[in-house]
Amino acid sequence: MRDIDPDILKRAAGGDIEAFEDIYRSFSGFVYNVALGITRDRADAEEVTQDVFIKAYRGLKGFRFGSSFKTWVYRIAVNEALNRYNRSKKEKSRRLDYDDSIESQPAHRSGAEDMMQSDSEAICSMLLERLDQRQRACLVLREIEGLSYKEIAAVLRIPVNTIRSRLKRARQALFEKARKELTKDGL
Amino acid sequence: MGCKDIQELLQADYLDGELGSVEEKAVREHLLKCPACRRLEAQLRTQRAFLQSAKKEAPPERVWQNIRRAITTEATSRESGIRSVLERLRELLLTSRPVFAVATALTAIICIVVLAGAIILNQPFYAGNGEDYLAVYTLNGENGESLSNFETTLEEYFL
Repeated sequence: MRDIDPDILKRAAGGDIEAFEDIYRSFSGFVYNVALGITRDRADAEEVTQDVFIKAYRGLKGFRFGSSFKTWVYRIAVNEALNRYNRSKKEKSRRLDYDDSIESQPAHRSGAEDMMQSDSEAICSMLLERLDQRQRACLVLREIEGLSYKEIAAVLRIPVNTIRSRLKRARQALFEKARKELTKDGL
Repeated sequence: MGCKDIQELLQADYLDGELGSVEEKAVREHLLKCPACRRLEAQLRTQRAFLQSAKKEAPPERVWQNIRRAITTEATSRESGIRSVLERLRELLLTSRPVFAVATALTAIICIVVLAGAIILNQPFYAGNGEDYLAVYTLNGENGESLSNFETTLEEYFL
């Protein structure tokens, strides 16, 4: 995780929209992918990304420049994504399904690669969706975004030992889900 | 360390590269001689590879356009809000309206009267010699008799 130049932060806090765009370009990939990993829905992930950066812009004036900006943004991202996921879960709609996944793939890969990618994404999505949301947040930050235990603990504001046990349980749960799926399919 | 301890470490710290060098070495040595733990390690690595195969995406450009529009609109409306308050205040203070003009004139007159009254009441209005001056203020006569008993409050007021 690379933090942003404090000068850019100060300029953005003063209302410089170009400086804020630099911040957006640096962190939007992370925010969007974490949101996608947690919500499993592209429309939700887009809305989460928008909300996170609008909140960040509003909060910049009060931001203490001694602390880590990226940790702050990541924390907003995880919280927003979890809130969005819970709201969407209640609505029981707009879930990303297999067909949506195929439609949203870029066109430059071959058909076989597309199918393999879509298959693995669909299965990955299905498995992650069945995890407890707190375990999922930890697993997304660790496996997909590559954050260390210390970084995850700072983002989620929980002890490192809790991160350790959530990751362990998430991995055990994934094994269990995968085993059940394979048994169901007669494999 | 037994298999149970090793498997605990495999599912978190070992897989995530969070172990110290001594423990990591102990786990590696155990894996060399334990097929069950080796199998678990292989499964965990497969699971990780599977999760990491999820393609990372950049958000669509419309997301930034929406954010830019939202914060620009917010800044503009905040500026126009402040400007309209200031303009209203300026208008209130600087525009001469009959009601305000009359009120200002009346206030000025009252202030002048009050100030003048305060000055007059604090100054001796009797320009005589020093003794007379004393007599006026002590309300004593030349022979020491009291001059305070004037019977009427009106006279007391004017003296």
